[in-house]
Amino acid sequence: MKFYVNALLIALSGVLSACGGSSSSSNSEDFFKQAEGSEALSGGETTVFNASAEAYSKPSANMITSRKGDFFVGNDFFSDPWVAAPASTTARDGLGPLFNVSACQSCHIKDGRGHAPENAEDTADSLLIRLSHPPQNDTEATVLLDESVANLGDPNYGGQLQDRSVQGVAAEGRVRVDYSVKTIEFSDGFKVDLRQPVFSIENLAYGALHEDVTLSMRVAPVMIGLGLLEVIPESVYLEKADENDADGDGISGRPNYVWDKSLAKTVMGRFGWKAGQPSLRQQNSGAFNGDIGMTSSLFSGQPCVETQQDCLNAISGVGPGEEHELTDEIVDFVEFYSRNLAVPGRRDEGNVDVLAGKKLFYQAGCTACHTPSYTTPALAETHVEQSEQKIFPYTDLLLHDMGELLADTDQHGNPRSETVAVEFLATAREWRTAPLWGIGLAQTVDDDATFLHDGRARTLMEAVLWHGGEAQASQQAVLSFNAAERDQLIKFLESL
Amino acid sequence: MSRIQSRKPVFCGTSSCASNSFQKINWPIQSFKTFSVAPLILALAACGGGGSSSSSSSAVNITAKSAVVSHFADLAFAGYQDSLLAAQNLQTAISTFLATPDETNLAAAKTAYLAARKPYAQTEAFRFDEGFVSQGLPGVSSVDAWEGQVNAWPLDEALIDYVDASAYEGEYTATSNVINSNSVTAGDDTIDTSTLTTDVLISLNEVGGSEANVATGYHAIEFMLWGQDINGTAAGAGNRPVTDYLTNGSCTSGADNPQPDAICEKRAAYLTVATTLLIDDLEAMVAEWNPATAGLTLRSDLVDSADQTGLNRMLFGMGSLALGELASERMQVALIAGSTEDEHECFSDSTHLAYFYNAKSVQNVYMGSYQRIDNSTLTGSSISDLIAETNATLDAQVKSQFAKVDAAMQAIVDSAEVDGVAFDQLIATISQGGTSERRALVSTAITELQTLTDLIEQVAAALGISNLDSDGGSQF
Repeated sequence: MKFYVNALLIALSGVLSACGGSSSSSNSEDFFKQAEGSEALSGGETTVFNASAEAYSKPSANMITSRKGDFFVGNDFFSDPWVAAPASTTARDGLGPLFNVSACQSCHIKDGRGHAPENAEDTADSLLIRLSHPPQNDTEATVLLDESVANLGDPNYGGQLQDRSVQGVAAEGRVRVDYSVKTIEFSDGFKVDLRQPVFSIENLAYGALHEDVTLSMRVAPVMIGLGLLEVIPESVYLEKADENDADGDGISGRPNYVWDKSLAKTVMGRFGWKAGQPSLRQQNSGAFNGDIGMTSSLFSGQPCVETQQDCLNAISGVGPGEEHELTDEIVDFVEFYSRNLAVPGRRDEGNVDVLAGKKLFYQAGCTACHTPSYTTPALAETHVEQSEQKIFPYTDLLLHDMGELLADTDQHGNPRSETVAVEFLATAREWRTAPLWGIGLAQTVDDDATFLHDGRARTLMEAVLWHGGEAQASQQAVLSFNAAERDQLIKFLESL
Repeated sequence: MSRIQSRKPVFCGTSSCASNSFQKINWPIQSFKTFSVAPLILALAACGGGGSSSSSSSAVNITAKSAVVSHFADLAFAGYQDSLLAAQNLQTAISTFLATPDETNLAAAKTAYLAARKPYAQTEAFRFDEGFVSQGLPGVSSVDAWEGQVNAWPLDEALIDYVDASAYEGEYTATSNVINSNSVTAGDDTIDTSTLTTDVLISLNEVGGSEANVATGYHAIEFMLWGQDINGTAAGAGNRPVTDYLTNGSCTSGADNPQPDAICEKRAAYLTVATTLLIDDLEAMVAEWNPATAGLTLRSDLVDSADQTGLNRMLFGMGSLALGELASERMQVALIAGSTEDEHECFSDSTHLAYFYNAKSVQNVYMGSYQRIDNSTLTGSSISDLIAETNATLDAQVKSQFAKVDAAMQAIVDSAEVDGVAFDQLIATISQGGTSERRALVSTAITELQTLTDLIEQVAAALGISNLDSDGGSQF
């Protein structure tokens, strides 16, 4: 099986061909005259055609019925709330002691993305804050030499702020956001008001934050198509890495290298806003642990730091005959579920404005990071749905410096510098290129959905305009678009 | 503003119960690899084409698709009529019990409840109509939207009345509840519960954003009659003492826990109001399917739609109940979790009957046949008839598979009724003291339902339906 990255590389190669997406040229005018090959099928044969609020909640379209049962079972564990121990239903308890929410879907709303709080009073119910600090001395620096250590968490709060807790344990604090308006102007004078957030943490229950703490805000991301991104070999993504910008295009995508707990080795990170997790199983287990407080094979400790005695003393949900609060069997079902949440197919991909917008997307250089297409390899029966699929995720899964305005902050809202590592290699300014497939349905699935890592962007255009750093040139190109072109670009994004 | 995802109470599941989409039916697995891009299939799938049967069989094609769809509406009418009649019997039994709260009358009310569940459980295949129903109907907007108030599960009993905290597994954490407090607070919401009306009960559903906060429907009534089942995966159902309803100075909240009469009076009021609301809701649904009801109804909407759409909805409902709900969310999840919380009818331990009649509901739709509560049988044009005319082999396979499902479900019923081992004991994990033999009864039923769903998809394909899902469908 030959793998290829069909957009940028081929665009550069200038190969012309009449059909069969893999050899079309985006240099060619013809490329944008009609929809290319199978691009309507964003997720290949897994693609579902549903443009309703349920668009993100379907199993892979090519799944046979006998496997769908496993999907529905996984859905149940993804959807239903976990409860505090002790409960006689040992399989359902284990929530907390500290947690953000009691169910996966509370944040991944209808399997889609979460949103930022609307204002200072609103609850951060689908956004969380990761906490870390740079090493302050040789001892701390030595800790980071261990490949399995992602970062140094806050001494009093750990690596993540949990703003809820079970009875008898204090919640760690409350997330607050304050917005200021930042107006950005297109070259034709059209103005867009962006909202610049400053996140802070109130009601700190366990003392002060580390003085050099970094707050890294993370809105729950959409769950679709993850199984397809997981099976593309690391080498395919690495072909696009250009850490030192050797090609001089201003884009220096680089992989995050993270610890794979199952393999006990360092591999390329794929999931999370900073590509901090290598696999769906580890991502899911990490979220169960950090966000819900459930222990499992991969994350066996409760989310308490050693000074949080109430948290440490709280009753565990590990029942008799169980090793962890989550059995491997339940982790298996949730993994299967998350692997098979299908990507919705394109709408209007052949529309003249959509095609014009697509051309603008390419011309503005967006595809330098938002790589349009891949083909998955032949896979074993366990991953039959994901096997040999031509997909259109629009991501390279690499980290890119997105500029100061999008950077993680200190506890007062000031941006941290590009030298501050936050999660394995990823710095305060680096973010993994977000997949764009299905993004046009984000607010159909949940009308409160917002965009970017901290949910600051209320619209797709706002999200585009926040792009800085390596994406600055593309953002500038967009700012030169006239009204018709802006409309076309958005129509293209909405068709994804 | 704090926003929790909009949730509606549904039968043992959640609002985001994922669903499948059947855009392209590509069996067997090998065919995936030769898939060709075919957006045309999508176009075909959505619109369902015309109404008339297009069979070119030389045999006389006597079954019209329109007759099959129309008969489905008759089945729904009969099913909801029976549900209403049985609920009215329940209401009478409850009135008698509340007038004279003694053991005999409590037992009679419980018997009436179980009798009321039998026809209702057989209506569940009618439920999955979201996305198939036209927008803006004047009455009930869809069965799926209506169903939450009638049959919501899971139900967090601590919202309603006292529970034994050591056996309580719900997520409702407030100390106040409807019976024992004049107001209930959950999350950001506070509801005045000093006077109970149908509106008050409705407003309690999902209070605080938790979908398990349910105060209406069958399961609320079940809890008021049986009480909390504190036996876990051991033998025994809920055992609410009759003294919970005494108003002669002997009122209790559980045996040996004396309370003022006002508490028992409120329990009686709750039971009365919840039953009244159930009757109201069932009456509304009966009217929707009654051919004599003027104007736009769920029945007219179905019958007036393209025949292919109607067949699509029937098959989607069958598959949704068989696989998405029954095999997966109701049975397999409970089996994996060993979780009595996942058991329907957990207060009364009559889950085996609900599941048996749920499976029957799927069969009723396929066969166009329903045995009414007066023991008469309603028959008419069926999907089975349509298939038999064009593919007798497939029809025989489906019927044979229904027999296997029936046998597997009967084994679960026999376990409860003959051997005294109820569903909550069957699902006990080995570490909870369960046995592989007992668990196998459940897993066998799951497997048979999965096989049945494969055949339902083949039936759909045979009828020219390549996309069983509706655009807005949220199940199966």
